[in-house]
Amino acid sequence: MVDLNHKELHGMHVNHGLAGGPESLVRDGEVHRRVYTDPAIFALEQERIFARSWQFLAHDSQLPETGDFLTTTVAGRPVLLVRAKNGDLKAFFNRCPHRGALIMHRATGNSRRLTCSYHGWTFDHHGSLLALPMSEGYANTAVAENPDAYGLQALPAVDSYRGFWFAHLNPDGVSLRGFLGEVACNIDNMIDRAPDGTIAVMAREPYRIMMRNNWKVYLENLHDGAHAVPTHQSSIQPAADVARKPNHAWSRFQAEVIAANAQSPAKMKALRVNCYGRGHSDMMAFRKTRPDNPEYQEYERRLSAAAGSSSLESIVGINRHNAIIYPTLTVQPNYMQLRVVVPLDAESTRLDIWIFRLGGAPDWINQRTLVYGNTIHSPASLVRADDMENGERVQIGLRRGVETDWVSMHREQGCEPGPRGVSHAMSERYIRNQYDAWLHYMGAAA
Amino acid sequence: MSLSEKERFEIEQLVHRECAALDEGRYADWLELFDPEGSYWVPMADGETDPETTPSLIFERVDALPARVGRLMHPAAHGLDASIRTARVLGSLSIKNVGPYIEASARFHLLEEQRPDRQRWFGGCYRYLLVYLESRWRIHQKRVDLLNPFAPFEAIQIIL
Repeated sequence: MVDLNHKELHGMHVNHGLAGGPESLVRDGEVHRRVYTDPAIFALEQERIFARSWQFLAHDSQLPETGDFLTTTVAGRPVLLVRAKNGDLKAFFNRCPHRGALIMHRATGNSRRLTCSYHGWTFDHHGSLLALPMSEGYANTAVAENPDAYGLQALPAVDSYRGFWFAHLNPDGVSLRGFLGEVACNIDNMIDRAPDGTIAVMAREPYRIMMRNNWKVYLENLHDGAHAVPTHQSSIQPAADVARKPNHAWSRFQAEVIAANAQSPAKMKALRVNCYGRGHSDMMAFRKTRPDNPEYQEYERRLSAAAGSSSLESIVGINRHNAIIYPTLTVQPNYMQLRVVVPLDAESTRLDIWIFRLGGAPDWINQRTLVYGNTIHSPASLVRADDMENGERVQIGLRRGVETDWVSMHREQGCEPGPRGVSHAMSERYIRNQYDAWLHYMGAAA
Repeated sequence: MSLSEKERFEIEQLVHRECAALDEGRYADWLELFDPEGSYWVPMADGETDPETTPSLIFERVDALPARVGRLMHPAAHGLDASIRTARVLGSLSIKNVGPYIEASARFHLLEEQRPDRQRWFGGCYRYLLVYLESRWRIHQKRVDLLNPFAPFEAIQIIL
């Protein structure tokens, strides 16, 4: 039992009208609106979910050269990644041990040394203190006596899954591989699509999106086949008109991707969703991704030559729309898209979306990845605009208590009682599965 | 080629007509200003040269633009329920030859109002590649270089 008036929340406005802890906010098929709106819940999520799970840092290809660095956050903490001389990827809290300033403030760059802009303390790529300006002032202090203790602080646990780096702030014995479990097949599927076995980010900057909604509102939309037509009707019809005309091939592709939201409920129901442990899940795709054109066939020919024709079907024959690696990562393996969810506060969330080039593939397939990214993941996407509007409407709708404070996630619960197992894109089982994990992380599991 | 005063005037008029069509919501008129082989490009980084190999905020050929315009005019575009209005100001227009095209470029400020309590500014440079086709100037490419193309944005629903 967790008391939300516990001292770790002291000073925050907790006006919940409920006596209990996190377990009181989830009940059979329903969740209390406060999980989306309460700053105290968000603060608790930061410590208990994001600081106690494997969080995505970067892909190897974002830091190809010695001295490449990038800044990011893990559970709200500023983090600095550096490619060291021996090829190691180093991850530090991005904080000078002297006065606490950010060591690096730019998003990316390359630097031979890491120098704090405030007083010039300088560190090497392994985080060791290299230069201490005005050092005479430190005579007979702990800094002079034990300079090793005044290097950059490394993150407690960092590991890579096939080039995708993650960090854990409170290692609890669960390995990255164990954390990913069955959902790892989606990362595998993305990499396995590369004829030469390598993938690399297509740009040094991701698409970046700001959403006026809680991070969970976004995750709870990702396998939701029931929202597609009501939410996206404004883009479906105009795009279908463009797709029908003898337009440029990429114009038609863009339009077909948008118009695909018109799938009937029956077709959505036929799309399998798998709900795994730890809140993870994945969903099959509703658009064919193996077109009958020579450019695509050249890609399959190269992949088949590299991976073996017997492997071809187990790679491109698996067409998943997306996967949720709970709580803050989602992958679209068929279009090589990786979305990083960055929860900023209870009511705002950023998305960083990376797209990957398949090594050894014809330009056509990489261009398709790019056109898909522009169409779906740009902040100027015709599809996303209406998702973002509805996300904000959920947030506004839940901000204040009204007669009913409970939000429904009942769809198909009658047929699918437990959180895990096989489901489909017209079911909200994957949302119930996320709250099963949420309760577990929040320390309130039965 | 060197431009006559009359041609420079026509090009200036075209640029101003383009902005007015957008600010006044006359999207069919806006589409008419383009070369049918043209495109609308908003790069996602400074100094981009190739929209076919690098991600963009928007890269659409003219034949794809009816989808964007169609959504702007669709009665069930939820994000547009409170109508979006824009007002843009151009300055420092310059005109030069670029390969087979004339490039007209101008600094712009764009104020967007989405519902009365939400305003947003965009700024940067418009670059129009123009061609003379069937007795008038047409836009072969409208390129919008934002000052902050890699910033996290809320939905960009307007045509910049």
